[in-house]
Amino acid sequence: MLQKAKDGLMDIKLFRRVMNWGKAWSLWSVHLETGCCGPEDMARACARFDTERFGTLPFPTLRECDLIFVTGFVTKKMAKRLKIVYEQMPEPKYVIAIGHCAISGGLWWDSYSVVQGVDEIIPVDVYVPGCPPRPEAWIQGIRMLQEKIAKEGMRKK
Amino acid sequence: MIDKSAEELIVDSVKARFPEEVIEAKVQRKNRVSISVRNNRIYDVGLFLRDELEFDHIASVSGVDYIDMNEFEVIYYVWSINKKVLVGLRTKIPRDNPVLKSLVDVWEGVLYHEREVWEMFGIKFEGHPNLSLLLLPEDWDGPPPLRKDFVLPETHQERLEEKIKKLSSG
Ligand code: SF4
Repeated sequence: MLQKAKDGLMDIKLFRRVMNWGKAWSLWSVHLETGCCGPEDMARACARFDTERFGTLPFPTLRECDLIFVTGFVTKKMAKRLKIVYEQMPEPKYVIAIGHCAISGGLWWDSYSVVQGVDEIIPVDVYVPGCPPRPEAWIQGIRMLQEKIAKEGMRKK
Repeated sequence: MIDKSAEELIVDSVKARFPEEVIEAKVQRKNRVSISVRNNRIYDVGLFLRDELEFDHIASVSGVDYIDMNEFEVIYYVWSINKKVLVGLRTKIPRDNPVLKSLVDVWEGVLYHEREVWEMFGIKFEGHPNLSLLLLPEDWDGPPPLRKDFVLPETHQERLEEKIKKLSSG
């Protein structure tokens, strides 16, 4: 019995599966609102849509977080702060870009102050379009990220 | 004789005190008064509004770019909390030499508003203690972005096209 458990732990594939399972179901998100998709962030975290069912809990300290929702447009001034937040988070870390503005600049694509898509600043894992996306779409985004994590190898991230 | 409303009394007293400087003063609707003055006396009109007509709360300062007339307009929105009247105190300045005396000594609340008008329109406020960037990024070096003749850098459009290509292919 003990031997069997030991073999199981040594089995790298199983180990990786367990690790990815753990990563995928405890995606705590940084509390950082950049644009007007922000209220939707509150909606998805509160009782009605309750993304904590999927392990995504908004959390105040970024040192213990794994996930950033970039909620909407990012101004050039905010971009620097966003990068600081991203770099301060420990690995593994993931980014979900929410809303047209975070994907491409959206309404403000030709503005003097808005970054044309947050992937110019930090790497993005999942894009969720909408203006703003409904909480259901956020949940779909979280599920897609979980599927992506489940396929991850040992070394990546 | 019908009693005059608070708005009309304000218009009358401003006109009586500054017959030369006030270009136009009128009641727009209930609780709203608009006063246009010449730009060299806006400071005195501001003082008069504050001290004698109880206009004590500065709500906002905004700028308008009339590029066809080669003019900027600066509008100070001031509330009187007692009288419940909002005055739009407007003045026009030439576009080539946009300098205006700051009203910081009259209402201290204009500190931030004037800074914003300065960075967005490039209107200099003489006597303002700290004209530095407020909302724009710290490394902003372009022209004031809310002027009508502001154009985006050409690289902007190119970057966007590149991005669309990248997103649609991947
Ligand atoms: S996508 Fe829509 S809701 Fe979201 S930040 Fe942009 S404009 Fe606001």
